[in-house]
Amino acid sequence: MDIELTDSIEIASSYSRPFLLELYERMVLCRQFEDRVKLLFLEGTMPGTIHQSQGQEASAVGVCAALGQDDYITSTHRPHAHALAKGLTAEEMMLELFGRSTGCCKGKGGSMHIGNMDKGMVPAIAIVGGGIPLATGMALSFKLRQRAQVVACFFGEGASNEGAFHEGVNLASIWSLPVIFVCENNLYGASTAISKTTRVPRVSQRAQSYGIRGETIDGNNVLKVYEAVQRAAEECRSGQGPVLLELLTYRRVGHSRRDPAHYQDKGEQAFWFARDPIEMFRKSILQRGDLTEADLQTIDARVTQTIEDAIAVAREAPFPTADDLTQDVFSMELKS
Amino acid sequence: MEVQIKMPDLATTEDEIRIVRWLVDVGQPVKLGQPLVEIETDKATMEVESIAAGTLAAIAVAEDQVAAVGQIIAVIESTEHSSQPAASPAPTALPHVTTPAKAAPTAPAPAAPAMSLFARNKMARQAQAQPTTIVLSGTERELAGRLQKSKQTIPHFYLNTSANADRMIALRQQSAPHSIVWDAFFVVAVARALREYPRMGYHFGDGQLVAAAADAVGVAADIDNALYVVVVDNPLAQTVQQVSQQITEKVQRIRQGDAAAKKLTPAAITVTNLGAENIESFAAIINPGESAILAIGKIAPAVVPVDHNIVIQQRVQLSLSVDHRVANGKYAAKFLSKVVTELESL
Repeated sequence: MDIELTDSIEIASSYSRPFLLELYERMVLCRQFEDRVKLLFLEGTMPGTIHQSQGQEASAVGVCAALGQDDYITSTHRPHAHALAKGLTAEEMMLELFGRSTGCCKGKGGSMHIGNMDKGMVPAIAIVGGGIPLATGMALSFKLRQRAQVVACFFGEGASNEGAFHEGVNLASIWSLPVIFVCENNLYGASTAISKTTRVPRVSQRAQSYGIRGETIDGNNVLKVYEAVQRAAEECRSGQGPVLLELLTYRRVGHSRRDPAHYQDKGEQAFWFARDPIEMFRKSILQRGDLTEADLQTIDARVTQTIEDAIAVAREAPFPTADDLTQDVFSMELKS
Repeated sequence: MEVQIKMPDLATTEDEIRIVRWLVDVGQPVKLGQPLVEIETDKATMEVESIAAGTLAAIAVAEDQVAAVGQIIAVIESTEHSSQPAASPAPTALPHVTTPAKAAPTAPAPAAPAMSLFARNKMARQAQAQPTTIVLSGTERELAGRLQKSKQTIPHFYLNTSANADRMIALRQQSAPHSIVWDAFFVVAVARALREYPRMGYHFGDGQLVAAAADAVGVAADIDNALYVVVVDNPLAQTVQQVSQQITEKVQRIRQGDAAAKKLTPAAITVTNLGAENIESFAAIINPGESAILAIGKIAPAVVPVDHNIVIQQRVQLSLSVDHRVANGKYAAKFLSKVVTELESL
């Protein structure tokens, strides 16, 4: 059950250059998006509150890269990286964060309810553990309709102590539903260390009590995450689900933008900051020899431009009107 | 290009956020994302990063002042592309801007902001009104916390008595032209009584009694509206005059801003005196880390029966607040009686 947290990433030769660059670009997009949004909040132009995911990019990108376009994810109060990894654009998200009517939730969702059903992301559920029973329900629907889809359900280690976790995982296990329960264990439930709330050393050990497979993975190693989710997805599609994956990772920022994270131990911070998922991946892919520093810098610059363009669009886009208030509240037709 | 730095919305329940410390001086360069200012919300103290790169041109809200969310707190003269949209053409109007002393070219005076008559009237009304909240300094808040903890966790009981002050008055007259501060007499008397009742030199800590860190008696002092405890070291080895001199010197050092002198160091017992404020007697709160506090009222003539005669004496009221976990009533009463005896036979 115990895993080694290395600071380099082994890359099998079977991985193609474009695939690795795509993983890199998605992670950089997640990081730059969050860093830029932080400045927008400090600037005072962006409304609402925000929970950021700097440091957790490998788990978001690794999971979503192993899913198909018609597979789904459910997300949490910390959803930006999940959304970008699942294929939402910086523009539709920036519009949403700015509360504009052209955003992915028409400006009514904001940060904590960001999503796009067409891209396989249920609008994020900010209630801790709230996505777990929902994902189970979605997987039940896939099974009853005999679809080969899976749902990856993101939640934090704190949520694994919620009643919803037990109910959702148990139900999924007795019906062998195609759910990958993805526990992003960043060691803190808001400001509370996992050691204060959980006695088992690994969240993945809990899988045993539901009779399902559990696995702990280095969540800062994007390829380890990708491979683990591929395995889990195959199991789910062949009726051997669900699977509980625990991704060990770390937040480089506070729980919310109002939190300076003074509770994070300095030595622990140093250890994890040195294992930055993007830096580790960057170093490792450069050693392959078929891509250069300049390739990566081109990507960095392209991402920066994409985000700046998105901000420029979002600042000018219209707000929802009073008439929009009652739109999309009730479904008038039942979809089959 | 000027970039306005506004107080970000970081508080959870309070509208105003306190500036603790500016981390960059006016005129100094600032990088994008560099910690610019340390602020204190109701939840935490945290650093706020700069949203622009350039030079810190002005600070609009000084340290220890509060700013409302969205209020401009500084201006950065940006050298490169900034995160902000193009600023409105109106010049930045900053209240109380501190500009660098060596700012060579004087910036044009900011034009008065366009403001409606109603807004101006509202501002004028607000300027006259008493502040609805008063921001406490770090020291004041620390003291507030200590006092609250003391009153909530120490089971106080109170003993009241009085002492003949004639001897003190005589000693003061003798020492002229050198004056003796009144507190010196009480410090010496308490120190002598402690020698006979050593238990009062302990404080309650973690289920046991712990000896006071130093053989010292404290004097509470209100200096420029802030409360301090001036600690007299080893009073038993000193005359009343020497103790008086030590108190005067330490008060002087605190007044001059000596940080070491301001530091709260617990004594065995503290003496607090409101006699000069015409208070007859009062019950004080024990300074945490000590066993008791002796509250001294004003010296006033009183009619006292002495040997079946009616005598008028100058008397002083004494109230001793005691931590019941350290001493029982009888022990503390004997201690206080000893203080009285010492005061009357200095």
